[in-house]
Amino acid sequence: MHTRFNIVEDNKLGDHTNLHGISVENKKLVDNTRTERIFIRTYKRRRVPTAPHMSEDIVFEILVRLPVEDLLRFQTVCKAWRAIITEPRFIRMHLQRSASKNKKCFLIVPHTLDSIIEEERWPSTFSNNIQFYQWQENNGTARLLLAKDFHKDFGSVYRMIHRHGLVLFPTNTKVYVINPAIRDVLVLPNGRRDILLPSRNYPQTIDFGLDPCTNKYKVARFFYRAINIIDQSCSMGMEVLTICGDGSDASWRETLEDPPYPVHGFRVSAYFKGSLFWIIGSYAIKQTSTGLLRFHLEDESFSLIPLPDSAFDDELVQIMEHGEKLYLAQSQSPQHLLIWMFCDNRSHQWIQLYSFNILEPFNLHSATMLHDGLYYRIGSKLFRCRTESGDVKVVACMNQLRHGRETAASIEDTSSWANVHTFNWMPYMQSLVPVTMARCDKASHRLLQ
Amino acid sequence: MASAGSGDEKAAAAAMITLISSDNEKFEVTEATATLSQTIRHMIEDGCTDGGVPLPNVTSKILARVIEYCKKHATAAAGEEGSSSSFSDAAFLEVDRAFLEELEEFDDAFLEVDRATLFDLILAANYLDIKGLLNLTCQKVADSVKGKTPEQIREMYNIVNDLTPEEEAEIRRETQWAFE
Repeated sequence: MHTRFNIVEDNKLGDHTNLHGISVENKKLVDNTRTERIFIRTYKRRRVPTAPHMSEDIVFEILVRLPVEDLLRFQTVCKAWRAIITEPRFIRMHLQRSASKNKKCFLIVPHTLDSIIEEERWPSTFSNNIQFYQWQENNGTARLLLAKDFHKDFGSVYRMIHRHGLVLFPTNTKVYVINPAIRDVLVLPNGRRDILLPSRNYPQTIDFGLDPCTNKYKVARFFYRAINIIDQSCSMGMEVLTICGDGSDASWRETLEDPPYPVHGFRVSAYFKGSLFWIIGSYAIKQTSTGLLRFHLEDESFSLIPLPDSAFDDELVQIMEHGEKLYLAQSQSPQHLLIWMFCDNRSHQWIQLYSFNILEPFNLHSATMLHDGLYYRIGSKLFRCRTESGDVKVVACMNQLRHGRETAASIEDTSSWANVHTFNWMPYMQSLVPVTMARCDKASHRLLQ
Repeated sequence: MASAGSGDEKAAAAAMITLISSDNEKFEVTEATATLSQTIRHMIEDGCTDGGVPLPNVTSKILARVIEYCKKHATAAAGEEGSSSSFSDAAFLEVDRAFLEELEEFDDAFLEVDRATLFDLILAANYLDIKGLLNLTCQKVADSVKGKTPEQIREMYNIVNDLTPEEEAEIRRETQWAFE
């Protein structure tokens, strides 16, 4: 392995001219005269520790600042670039940089119905053609990232969950983990057991997050072992699946400890500091306590976090994550909303951050926190309530958003959003995190042979 | 490291460090300027800067530019010119908007160099561990390659494609949309 990044250097030139302010044409001239006198240095990979120049580190530093699409293309520049781009450490660093940029980027997934069955509370006729659009606030157009036909695999779809560029997509049959930016789709195997088979009335209680210890993503799923209708009690179990992203078969296994409290599928969950959080409670079961159930992904243990004292009615709270923080929105009255932040110390305290007046009531489940405010949806309208001022503004009207496939010159309009039944939308950032056998690994294995 | 308001402040402000380039040119800089480089900061902490700091990987041409950058940014870090020689986040936040804009203009102008110089600056920033400069210069290169084809990249940086045609075809097949 040699030739990494051969930079044209002009050490022999000894020319100290400052090019500051020279016009572009002049610069070109200078560059041309240079090329006659250049000498090309070949940098060797790692084996030559005495060559600190254009090392792998520098190429790494440059590439890590590029968007996913450029990186996919630049894998074909040379073997060395490909090796860097597919390295897990690079993928993690790239993700961290994207996360720190605070870009207000969203993933919008419209769902249409193939047919309408009148009496259904939640339709069983969702289209299996799913399109993932990326949209940036203040941009007039949503860009198509991935269109996938799931070929009649499911009838009902549920709320998607986004983390680190990956989307968990639960349906009434299969659950998928998808990275739309690299078009990687993992179909999870069926869970081992559940007395309430997933049906459109009982969405699965499922979430995922990064286990900071192994740097792998774990999917966690609740299942009912037994439900006693007479005394309204139940026992739940949990199973966990590790996404290896290396082609090895993912399979579910039960956790040693059972969840101490029930949680049901309509609850929104959150990820914070290597743990998943759910608001406890189950509509079928008599409730004995309130609070958040914390599931530590690393050791697969559970703990209970109390809610803020005033948040006694857990139907009126919602948890949200943003930038390594965990928030709780509490609807104090139809007109008044409180935002709390969780302090992960021994006393598990909640700090009240903001208090808003709400003009128009909205479903707390649609709320999400970003660095500049609380975002929520009413119908196809996306609102933002600024945390500092409490000002509310419509930031997008989804069914009017221009959307389509981007070509070199323009946006090619895709199907209309006029008949969309529901939108899945979530804050989003692109990442290179693979969920199936990393395509890259496949090829590099071959390269090594 | 002196902290704002300490009795050592004046002494620290006055402390000068001599940097010696690969071609033996000597540059006198204040400690505040020099310590934007983590590498030099550690040397100062270890007390091994007497008699100058030799930088065998940095030419005088590049070192002069690096110092120009550090001077400007050390001023920014100190809040306002001459007020303090120390770096603190609190002081940084007090810098007014106008100064930040001026700093941005400085950075933009600073990057108006040919490609070879830009890469020399990256190497120096990496070696001297100057985070801000490394970020600035790497972002500039990243911006210049955004949207380019692999062919254009190879041409720009004289990179030899060592992938076999089969390998290249396979990667392209798997990421076809990124090439459209």
